[in-house]
Amino acid sequence: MANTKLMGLFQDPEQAAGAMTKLKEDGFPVEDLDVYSGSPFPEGSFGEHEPEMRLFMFPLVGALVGFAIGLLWTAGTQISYPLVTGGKPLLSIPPMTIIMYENTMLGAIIFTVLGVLFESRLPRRNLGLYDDRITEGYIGVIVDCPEERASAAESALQSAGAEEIKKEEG
Amino acid sequence: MHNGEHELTAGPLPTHQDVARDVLGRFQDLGHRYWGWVTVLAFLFILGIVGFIIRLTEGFDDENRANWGYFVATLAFIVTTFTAMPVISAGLRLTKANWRRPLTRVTENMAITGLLVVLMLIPALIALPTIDGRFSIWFEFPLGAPGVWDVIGYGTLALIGLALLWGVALPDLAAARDHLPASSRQRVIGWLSLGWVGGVRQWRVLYQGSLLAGAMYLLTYPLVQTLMISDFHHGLIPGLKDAIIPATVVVNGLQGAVGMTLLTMYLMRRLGNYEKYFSVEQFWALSKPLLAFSLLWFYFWWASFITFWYGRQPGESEVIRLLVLDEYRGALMISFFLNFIGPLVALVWNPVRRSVWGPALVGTGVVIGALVNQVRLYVSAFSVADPSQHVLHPRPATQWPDAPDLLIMVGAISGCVLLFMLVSKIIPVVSIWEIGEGLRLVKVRRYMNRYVRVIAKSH
Repeated sequence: MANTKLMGLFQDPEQAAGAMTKLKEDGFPVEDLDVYSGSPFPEGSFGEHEPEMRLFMFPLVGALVGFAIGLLWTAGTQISYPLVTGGKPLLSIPPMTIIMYENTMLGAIIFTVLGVLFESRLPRRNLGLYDDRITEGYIGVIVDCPEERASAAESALQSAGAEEIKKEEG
Repeated sequence: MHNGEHELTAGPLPTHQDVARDVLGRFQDLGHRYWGWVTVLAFLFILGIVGFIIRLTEGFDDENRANWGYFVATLAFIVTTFTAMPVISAGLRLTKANWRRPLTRVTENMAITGLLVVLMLIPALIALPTIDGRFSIWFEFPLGAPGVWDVIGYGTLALIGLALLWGVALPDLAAARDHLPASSRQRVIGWLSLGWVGGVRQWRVLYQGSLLAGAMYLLTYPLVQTLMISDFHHGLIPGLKDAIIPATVVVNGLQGAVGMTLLTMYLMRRLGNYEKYFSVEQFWALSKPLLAFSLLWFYFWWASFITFWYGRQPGESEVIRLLVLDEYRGALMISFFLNFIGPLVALVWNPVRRSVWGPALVGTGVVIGALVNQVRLYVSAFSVADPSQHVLHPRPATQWPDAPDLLIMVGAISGCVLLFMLVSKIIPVVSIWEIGEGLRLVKVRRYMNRYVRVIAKSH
């Protein structure tokens, strides 16, 4: 069965929060609801589903990879081509530290950028169900539901005070 | 509770929609004044390139190294002021300062100057003498030091800055995509917005990502300043052994960043009519860290000076004479006044701190002082004939700028402002979404015989 997506547009965030409550009361799973807004709201303001994210893993992994490359690069080259100068230790730790730190930060930022893109599902070519007024402060409540429940979702959005309801056939 | 302004009333605050329409209206119609400034800055930047080409024709050999002193001082000035500005945004976002909202974008847009810094770094590195036989943090490390690692360090900072700038600007790029009339500019902005729609997941990722990138900028900036001062100053002056100089230049960079932010906000108020975004609250709030950094400026300078003063080894005496007592005494006095005495005397007065003109004036002085101080540090170091000596002898004479030096200094600084203005054509200079979020967290309430602002904590 094909799914339908609906978006109720609200100017008042309180009404949008009310719509989310009504939709959940009507049996729409919270995972199938989303809220589009022009600025962030504190977590849980709309009673929305908190998505699972692992963004913090990306810089951690990137930093480890960068550090390992820095260590292998500096230690590996000095060990492969040993040039003992004045009886000093072969590995020159101070410059190695700088290089490993640089590589750590470089790895961390590259992986963070990738993580941000992956976790926020960007870039996307098609905006899908969307309205320009969202970036002016309107709130869009998105419902992803089976086609036969579309009218129930529409009436829930309507009763909560949606200014406009848009629909996208899946 | 917070009462930032005397004239607080119970009148309605602007809405997200008001802010979006106002900012995008200014963004859409940049006006003749904008293009006039772009033309002037582009002309000055070209003059800087002419100065640079003159320097190139003179070559990079050891006899001509002193010619590159002002070029390197200008590079250090940009790192100390323009490129340091995203540190302000990162720090204020981490500490969740509500008053930051109108000014974060201005500081983040300056991250674009990291590109100019990386370009300028390459000839500066070529002008450096070999690390063989002289003191340096690279300990004669053979693997591409210092050139490759300096470029990677500076490149990393530039990359983090651009990632921070682009990531945090995505919602406003989407706003511009949605509301600007169709044009090639709108299409570029639409492409850069990456299809942002503002869902719950996207906002959570943006929030965490901006904190991470900001923290990384904060962690990388000290590295870059350490490389700058070690390779282009400390390693070129025989007898100079200053263990705290990396911390000194980081503090100087923070002071320069605050000073440049105040100056930029003041100019945007006067030339761009952004009075309602950059109000007394922002100037007042920034004047407090500026005062603290000015005190730290003296503390770090004094801690270095007193070590040399009591050490009195022959090498140390010569270094003090070069940098403090003789050849660059004038530069130090100017910097001492503009970076310490002036801010201290002015900013201890509450009426001065609590104004637009006061912090802006002090900030301007701090920026000028920072430029003079970089000349003292780097021109002196580049004029040393033989950095491989153990004791500085003879001391180089004071080196004054000639025409190519002046062209390079004016051109590079103009180039930074030009880059900022060009970025501001793509990314609005005021963050719509951050102000919109802030407006929702503020309510004006009656408190006894007056009105006060009540600010909610969002997390």
